[in-house]
Amino acid sequence: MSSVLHEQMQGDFYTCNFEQKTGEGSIILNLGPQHPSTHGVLRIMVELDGEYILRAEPVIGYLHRMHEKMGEVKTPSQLMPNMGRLDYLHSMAWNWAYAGAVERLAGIEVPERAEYLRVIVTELNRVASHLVWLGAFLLDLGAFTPILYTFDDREHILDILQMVSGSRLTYSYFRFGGVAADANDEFFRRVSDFIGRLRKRLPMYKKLVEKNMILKYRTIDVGFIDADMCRRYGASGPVARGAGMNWDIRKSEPYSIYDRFDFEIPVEKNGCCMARYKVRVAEMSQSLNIVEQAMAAIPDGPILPAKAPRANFKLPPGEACFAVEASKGLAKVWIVSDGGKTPYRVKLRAPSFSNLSLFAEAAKGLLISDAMALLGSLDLVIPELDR
Amino acid sequence: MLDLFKDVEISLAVEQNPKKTGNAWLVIFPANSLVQAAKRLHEAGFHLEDISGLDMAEGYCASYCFDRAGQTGDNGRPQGRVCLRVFVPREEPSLPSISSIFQGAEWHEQEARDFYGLFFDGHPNLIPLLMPVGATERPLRKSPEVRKPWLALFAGSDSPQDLGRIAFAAPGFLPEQIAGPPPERVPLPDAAPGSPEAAQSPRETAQGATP
Repeated sequence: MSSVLHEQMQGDFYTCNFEQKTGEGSIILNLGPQHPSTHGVLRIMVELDGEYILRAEPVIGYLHRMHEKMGEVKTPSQLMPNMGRLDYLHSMAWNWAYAGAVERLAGIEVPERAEYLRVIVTELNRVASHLVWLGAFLLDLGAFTPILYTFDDREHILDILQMVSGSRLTYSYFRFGGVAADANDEFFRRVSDFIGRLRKRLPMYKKLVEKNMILKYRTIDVGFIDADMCRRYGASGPVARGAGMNWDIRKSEPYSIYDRFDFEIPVEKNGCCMARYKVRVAEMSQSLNIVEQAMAAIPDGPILPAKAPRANFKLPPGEACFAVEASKGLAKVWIVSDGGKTPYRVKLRAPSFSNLSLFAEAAKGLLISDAMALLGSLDLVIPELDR
Repeated sequence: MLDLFKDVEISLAVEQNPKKTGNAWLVIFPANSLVQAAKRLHEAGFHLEDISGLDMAEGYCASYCFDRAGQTGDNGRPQGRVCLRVFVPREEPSLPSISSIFQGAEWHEQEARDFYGLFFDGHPNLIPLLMPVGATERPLRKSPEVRKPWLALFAGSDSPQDLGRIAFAAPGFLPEQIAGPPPERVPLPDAAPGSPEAAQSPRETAQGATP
């Protein structure tokens, strides 16, 4: 046997490291990095006893691009396009987290109209993100039809967001102190048309999905995550709310104008995959409520402050962090500046990172097929996780 | 907040304005009391947000953010973010791991190892997480000429008062020769945060005094 082949049979560094603790009679299985249910390049190593998982360890970093280093060598304005490339399904939230951190540090005021526009686009983007999750999660569980419906609805949102931001996926719509472009009447008309459309379609989704026996067996009481586990691992968003934690950054740390809207935080106590499904579906209709209220109250006026920062502006020295509720959970940007052209440190706290870190503990003892349901219910976006 | 750390050695505790920095409290610990502080936070129901590193003139800093996760305080309002920081010498960048208490810290600590070369004592699996296996460069370390002292980075100036309301400072921790008159130092048992108004007033006067 040639030495290269022998080396390949040994497995790579992670496999060798994982194998060291293998018990007698169990087998090691590598899921990914190209496994269909890992949605991107995520790899999970599991030690199996028959079909039951004894031990699991995710291997991440395949999409690591070192955004935090880019933050230190680019000016604040130059880094904004990177924010669309973290969580590509809810990039408006990352736009907001970064713009918010810069605004907080530099003391920039945002005009009213821009705040409302920010709320409208971010909530629409949240609905689009949950729609993708809904379709992809059900696809993981073997239901092919729903993703065709959800992508149809998502397409409407992408068209709407393209009108103001110019892009369909990796938005770079926010500016320090406001937004890049104003919305016209056509935009508002299409948003209100869409709200009516999705409100009619949501009950249909529920009927299609929730009464299906296969889905029930695969999600109810499968993949438990309790509140203590969320605290120990830092899980947030629908994962924490599905575990009975009433925690949403829009309520607990109200940023921008979220305190003006009347909306509820859906919470489910059970902590299983079905609970996380219910939280996300309920969140979609709450987001529509917020968009509707924002559309009714949006004032006329400028979308950037009179003294909007120029492209070459310098951040004042000091530090600030800004957290927003993204569709996956708590997205936070911490900026430290020494007063130079580029920030001294940019830390990106990604919700998917913490949400996946609990997988090893939550998957212990599950059937491998149930672990895939658990993985899908976490709603991971790998570029955000690897940064 | 200081009640919580009654039996933990603290170097500096500052109550900050969340509208300005995003943190409600900034607490700096010596490395050996970090695990105990994490234990107290876990018992009090805190939620681990993240751990990040920072390269400064004095060495490295590990910054731990915790949140009350939607629980409300005595005043009925949600409680803010608590930021714990530990300074680590450059020559021996080693600090205890809190992964036995907050298991989610494991990945954050591996990330700090990748980016800064920090070593976490007691970590069960300190292997590369985001950087390739075998990479020796530490991408977020800074060259000596661009490193800045911690006070300039956290306060934005040479004056500790710009951090916020200083609730406790261990003797000799703050650079008095730069700061001028010593900052307000309240002994530990009396420093328990009382009514929100009482906590509000000194901070506002401190802010009003700054230009």
